[in-house]
This record gives sequence, structure tokens and C-alpha cells, in this order.
Amino acid sequence: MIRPVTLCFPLVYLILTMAGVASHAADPQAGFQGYPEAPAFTVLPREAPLKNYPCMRCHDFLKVKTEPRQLRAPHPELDHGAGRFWCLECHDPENRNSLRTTPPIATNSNEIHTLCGRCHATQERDWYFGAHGKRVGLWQGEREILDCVRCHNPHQPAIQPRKPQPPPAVRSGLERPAGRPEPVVPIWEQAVDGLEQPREQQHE
Amino acid sequence: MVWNNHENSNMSDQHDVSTQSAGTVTVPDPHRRRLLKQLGIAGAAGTTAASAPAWGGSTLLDALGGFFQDQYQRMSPSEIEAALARIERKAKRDLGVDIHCDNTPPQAGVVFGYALNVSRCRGYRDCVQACIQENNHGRDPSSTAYIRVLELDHGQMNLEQADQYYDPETVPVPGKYYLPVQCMQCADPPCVKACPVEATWMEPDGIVVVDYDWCIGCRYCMTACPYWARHFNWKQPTIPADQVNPDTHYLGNRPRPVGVVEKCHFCIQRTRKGRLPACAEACPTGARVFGNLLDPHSEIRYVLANKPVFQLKSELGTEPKFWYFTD
Ligand code: SF4
Ligand code: SF4
Repeated sequence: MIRPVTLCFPLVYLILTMAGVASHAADPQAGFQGYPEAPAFTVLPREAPLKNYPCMRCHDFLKVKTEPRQLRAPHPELDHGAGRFWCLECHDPENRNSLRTTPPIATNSNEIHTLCGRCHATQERDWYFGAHGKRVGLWQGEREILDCVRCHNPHQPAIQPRKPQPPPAVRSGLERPAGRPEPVVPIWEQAVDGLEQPREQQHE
Repeated sequence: MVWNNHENSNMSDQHDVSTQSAGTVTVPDPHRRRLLKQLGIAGAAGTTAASAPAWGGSTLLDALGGFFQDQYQRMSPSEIEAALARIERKAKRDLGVDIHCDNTPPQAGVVFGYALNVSRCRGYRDCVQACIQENNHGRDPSSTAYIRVLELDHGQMNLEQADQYYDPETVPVPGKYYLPVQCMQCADPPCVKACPVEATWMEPDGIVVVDYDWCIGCRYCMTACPYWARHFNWKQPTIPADQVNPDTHYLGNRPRPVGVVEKCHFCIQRTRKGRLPACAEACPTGARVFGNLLDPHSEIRYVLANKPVFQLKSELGTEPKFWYFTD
């Protein structure tokens, strides 16, 4: 005999699926769910809390102006996306406390990778699996990794050049080679006669 | 293995030798070197606790014990313990620091591997500095360092053209890329084959180590290594007392004597306890991926399976366990 409880499960499952609750994949509102096959990890929180968060402290009283323009302090200078970007690409115009992801996340969230990954999806995938980004502490046991914004300033994400640490010493009794190694002239800068000929002649 | 019988008999011979006085040791082994060694160890161990100020601490006994010390793989546990204690005392005398020296064994089911993202490396040399501090390298200008960062022209892979002394105002220099080179922990290491006295070997976790007390400083291994990964101590490394890393390993970063060869050991003192190597920890760009090659879910296995990887001079068949990759 089949008990009523056993019958209940398929029924409930059907209803939930139709309502789009049971399966995240079927629900566009659930957004990107990460890579379940990636090794588990914890994201280390920001080193310091955001200074002016929550943004709505000011923006509650300000009109939303969507045209791109030069912003004054306390807003940072924007150098991201080679000039094609504007604040509202990432920040939600209606609710400045949150970022434009699906579902929206808070600007001071520790899940910033869900925002960056919207464009930088390959980097995000590699970050999940450990080929991009940085693990800290242990190679074994709990995997603690840094979030995107620990290394990249989201408003100027390119890492700036800087002075290297001092060069190695030369063993006592020896001298450092005078001058640098002869630079190699790449093939495309060398004059190669054969490459100058018109294509038609080569085919004849 | 050849050493197994040897080692077992050695262990039973050596058991509790420290409780006997040097005069009453009976030696079943006719081997002369072993007899001398036992006398040395018994002498050193028996009088360690007692102070002998006439000799400036236990210097003479330690010198004797050190002279008769066997190769690491052949030492019994009690001999190793005595050797570790000697190392700690010597560091106290020479450097004025209380160090801790252990011989943490390899973990089962672990073989270490390293992968370095060439497209991320920017030539900062932070790894070099971290290594020098972690591994108790001498701080005087002519001392050794395990990591060399090579600067190469775009489109070039000729290591002869590389510059390891680059020092511009800012790196990366446009048109250049950077290739850090250290010991590759080859799976078929030519350095080990070259050593005439078996002072260097590969541990079960894949780290090629040197017994600094057994090395005779002939430098054969340096010529055998195709990656310039081995370094000779031309001078006694000097380290200011406040810069000594007191957390050391017998096969790793313990203070080394003059006249021996040393090399990168994947921070054996850290990695065998689960920690990341100092260079991986220091790298500000996250270019370095370290982990267990036998764990299919490790980050390094993901890199090896999903990224274009290459080994340096792979045509030599040394099978480095250090890969470079790009993305
Ligand atoms: S890189 Fe050189 S020192 Fe290291 S294992 Fe290979 S041959 Fe030996
Ligand atoms: S220098 Fe030391 S480790 Fe190298 S080959 Fe000679 S004895 Fe062996």
C-alpha cells in the first residue's frame, strides 16, 4: 500500500518546479551559482570597511543623473574599460547601496567577484579553481582566497608598475657583466628582402 | 633500498647509546667509521647537559659529534635528535639566537608541484626577498639567493639573452617579460646522479634536498643542474640576530656552513606543515600556484589540466615539477 506521504513528494516537487523555486538553474533571478565542482573556499573580507558606505546616506537626497560627466571627490577617478564605462555600469542607479548583479549585492559585499565576473568570466572561473587570484596561509586544508578587490582597485583595476626589489649580488671576486645583454632585433624589425616582394610574383 | 638493512641494524645498535658512557660501549659492528661515530655520539650525548666552560660551552664535543655524524638517511632517530640539538646549540653560539630545528617527515600521499603564471609575473622580485628572509640566507652583499628573476625580450626564449641584474625605475619594462627560475625539483634530477657522496637526494614528497653536513662541496651538482638552481656558500652566511628565522628544518633553512651547496627546497620547513612556501605567500600578483600533485582537486592540477603549460628545457628529460603557464 502506498502511503499518502510518499505520494506527496512528487507532487510538491512538481509544484515547486513550476513555480521556479526548486531548481536554481531554471530561475533567471537566482543568477550565477558559481562552480560547484570547484574546491570549497572562504573569501577573506576586505582589509578596511568602505569609507562612505552606505552610499544612500547622500544619494537618498540626490537626483539620479545618468549622463556621464566628471565626478568630484569623494568619488574616485575612473580608469576602467578604456573610457567606455560610467559609474552606472556597475552601480545601481536606483539603489546606490547595491551593485548591478543578479541578484543584486551590496557595494561592501565580500562577493564582489560575482560583479567582476559578469565581464571577466574566464578570470572568475580561474579564480574559483585557483589559477587566478591568490590563496593565502595554507596549501592544505581550508582554502582561503582573496577577492578581486584585494588586488585590483575596481576604479583603476590595472596594477601599476613599481620599483623592483634590489638585483642579486655578484659573487665576491667576480664582476657584474658590463652592460646588458645585446637586445634581440625581432624578425619583424629586420629587413628581409623576400618579404618585400608583391604577392602575385610569389605565386607565379 | 640498499640502506634499509643497514638502517635497521643501525637503529638497534644505537638504541639508548646515550645512557652508556663512552668507555663501556660495546660495538658489534666491525666497521671502523661506525665505532668512531658511536664514540663521538656517546661522548657528545652523555655530556650535553653538563657544562664544560673550559671549551666554550660544548664546542669540542659538538665538533666531535659533528665529525662523526652520518648521512641523514642513515642516521637513527636518536642520532638525528643529537644532530638537531647540535644545530640549535651552534646557532646559539654563532648567531646568538634560539632556533628550533626539526626534521618533520614528508606527508603520505603528497608530492609537491609548482606552477608560475608568466603572464602575471611583473618582475618585482618580492619572492626573492621573502626567500632570503625565510631561508636564512646571508645578508652580506655577495650571499646566495635561491630565486633568479630573468628579464627577457618579448618573443624570445633564449635564456642566454636573459638579464637577471635588471634594475630600472619601474617594472615591468615595456617589451620585456619576466621568468623567475629556482630549483625545479626535477623528477629525474641530474644533480642527484652527479653527487659522488649521496649528499643530495629526492624525498618521498618530491623535494630534492641536501644534507649540508654530508656535502663535501665538490660542486659537481652545480654543473649538472641545467637550471642554475644550486648555489655554493663561498663565505659563512652572516645574519643579524634579529633577522634569523628561528623556525628551521634539518633539510631546509637551518643555518648552513661555509663550503657547501644549497638550493631551493620548496620551503620544506613550511610546506610539510601545510603552509605555502614563502615565495608564493610574498608574490603580490598571485602568479604562483603551489600544491599537491596527487590531489586531483588541487589548484595546481587545475592549472596543469586547463592552461597552456611548459617546463623549462623539457627536452632534457629532467621532468621538472615546476611548470610555467600563461593565460
Ligand atoms: S633544478 Fe637543478 S637542483 Fe633542482 S632538482 Fe633539477 S637538477 Fe637538481
Ligand atoms: S657539492 Fe655537495 S651536494 Fe653537490 S655534488 Fe658535491 S657533495 Fe654532492
